[in-house]
Amino acid sequence: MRVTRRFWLTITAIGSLVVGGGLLDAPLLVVGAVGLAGWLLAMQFAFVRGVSRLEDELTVSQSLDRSRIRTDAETKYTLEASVAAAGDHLPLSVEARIPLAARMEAGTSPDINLDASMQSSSVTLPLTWETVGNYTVPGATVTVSDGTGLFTQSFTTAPGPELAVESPSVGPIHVGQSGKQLLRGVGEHDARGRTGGLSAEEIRKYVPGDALKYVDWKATARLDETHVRNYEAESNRSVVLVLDHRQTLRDGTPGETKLDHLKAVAAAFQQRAETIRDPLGYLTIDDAGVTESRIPVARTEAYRSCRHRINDLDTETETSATATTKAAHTGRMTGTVNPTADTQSPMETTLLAYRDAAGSKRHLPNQPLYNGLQAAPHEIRSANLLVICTDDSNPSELRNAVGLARRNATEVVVFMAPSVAFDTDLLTDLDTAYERYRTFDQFRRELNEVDSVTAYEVGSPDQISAILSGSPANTDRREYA
Amino acid sequence: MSVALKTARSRRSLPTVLGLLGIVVATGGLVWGGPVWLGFVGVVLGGLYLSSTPVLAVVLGQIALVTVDTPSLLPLVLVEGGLFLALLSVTIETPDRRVAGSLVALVVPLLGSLAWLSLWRWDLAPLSVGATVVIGIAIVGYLFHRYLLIELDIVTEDAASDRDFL
Repeated sequence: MRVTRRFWLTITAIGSLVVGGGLLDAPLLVVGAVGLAGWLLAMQFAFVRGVSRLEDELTVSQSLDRSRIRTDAETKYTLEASVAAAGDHLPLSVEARIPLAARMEAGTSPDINLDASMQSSSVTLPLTWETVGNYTVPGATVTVSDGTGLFTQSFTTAPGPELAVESPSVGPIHVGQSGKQLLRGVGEHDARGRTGGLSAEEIRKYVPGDALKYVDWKATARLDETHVRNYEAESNRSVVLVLDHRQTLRDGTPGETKLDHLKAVAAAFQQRAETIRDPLGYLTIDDAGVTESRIPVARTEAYRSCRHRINDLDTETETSATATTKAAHTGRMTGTVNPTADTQSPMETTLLAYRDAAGSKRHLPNQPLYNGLQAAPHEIRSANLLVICTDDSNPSELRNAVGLARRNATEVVVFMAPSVAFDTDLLTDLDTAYERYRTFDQFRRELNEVDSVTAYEVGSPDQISAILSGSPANTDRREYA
Repeated sequence: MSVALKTARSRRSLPTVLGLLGIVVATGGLVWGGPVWLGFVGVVLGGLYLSSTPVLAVVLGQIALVTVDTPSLLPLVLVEGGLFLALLSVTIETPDRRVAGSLVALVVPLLGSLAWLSLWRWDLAPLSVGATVVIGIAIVGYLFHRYLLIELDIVTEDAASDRDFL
């Protein structure tokens, strides 16, 4: 309980009366002081009682109109307070504390004042979230004062809603094959995998054609009729995302680059894996090699780490400690680890000759994606599903990388951003663009024909439609029209 | 709408009327038992009351009462009763007016009577009586404060761990 200036004024008056009564030998002043002190005590008791009751009768709720949002998008925040009291109550104010990452419009404030006779009130304001992360709106502060202005008391309510702020979206994304949109959601998969199991789903009557091994003999004996037990597969598939963020992924208009589209696809896989608790790992590669990697695990921090990595991913060349360390251990960066013949010491020459003779890992020049997969054997070997997000700027490298991935992982899915769909002068020559797209699609089909490999194209639906409108069929149609 | 406004206005005016009545009664008592110029004190008391400082009005009224040499019982009762009404009117303005009003109506006369007995019947020194009563009330007030903090889960019953809120 906090006391106000008016309280201290009253105390001073009481003290003055007591002292004055003592000094002047005037008992009447002391009687007055005692009366005032008794009044003050009674008012305090009434306040304590009022606050205790109010705490039970007061309901403060904070809400946001959504639980996930992109940065710089707007949410509606609502603060509501109501008092379930039959009559008047102590006047109070409710003040919410908005997280620092949120920006409010100037002139608005998230607070409510409830006078003694007001039963409820609410305020709604738009909030813009500027920083990626998970936020919880802290509990609101309720300040109660008594009608005479002698006492105040503040207490905090329970924390408000949680909000996940994600990096900006690139809008609608085309994920499909040969210009046709993929019908199944990105990240969804059939229930199959190395570590999968079976759980009983239901018992039903036997029908001709059912395998004998599925007959449930106990149920058959109990029900006096042949019954079989149906099983459903349980999926527990390790997913590893391979995210290419080299310079070529920068193509496209700002905010809608190849990388932005691929990040959205990767984010969908991350969300899907987190929802169904699939172990998730990732590998990020730029022009210098592997920038970061995580082996797949089904832990909350692993999903969070992956989400942050996807959000933070940029086409700038990174020189992280991980990359340097890994490079040193694996020797994938030919320039730094394989010294030229001029600078090689005799011992290096001898050892490198042994390494080459023994057929150790092959590192190809100017193929960071392939070399990156080579450098992270633990990550790709522990993957049931390897998702490669890249572009078609170096088909031979991608072919090699997919081959390597296929040899190590159970299933490989490749999401390719066709370079032609991210050319800013695409619409100037649609025929050429269509020819380039056909070349891309042939390459995609080639990858798709590899066993356990599925290849998709990723791009802007408008751009893909624009390219397909340059196809001969459409051209003929246009000419006839 | 207009009915609600009227009700609210009348509810607000009731304490004021009661308080001003108390000031008038107290002024009457002062004038009856003392010189006529104490009537001006009544005007000041009214002004203090209307400017939302009823405590100062009570203090001034009590000081004015001292200026009256050996007041007789009736003027004394009128002044004290009037000042008590002024305090009570403030209590009625609070939302929990019944409880607060009952408490004031019980505690103030009780403590006043106790002080009266101590000073005139038992002949105790005014300073020691005043100090004892004020210290006692301060202790009870502190206990109320602690009770409220515990009730609101701001502190625990272990006072040693909650030094900041003492």
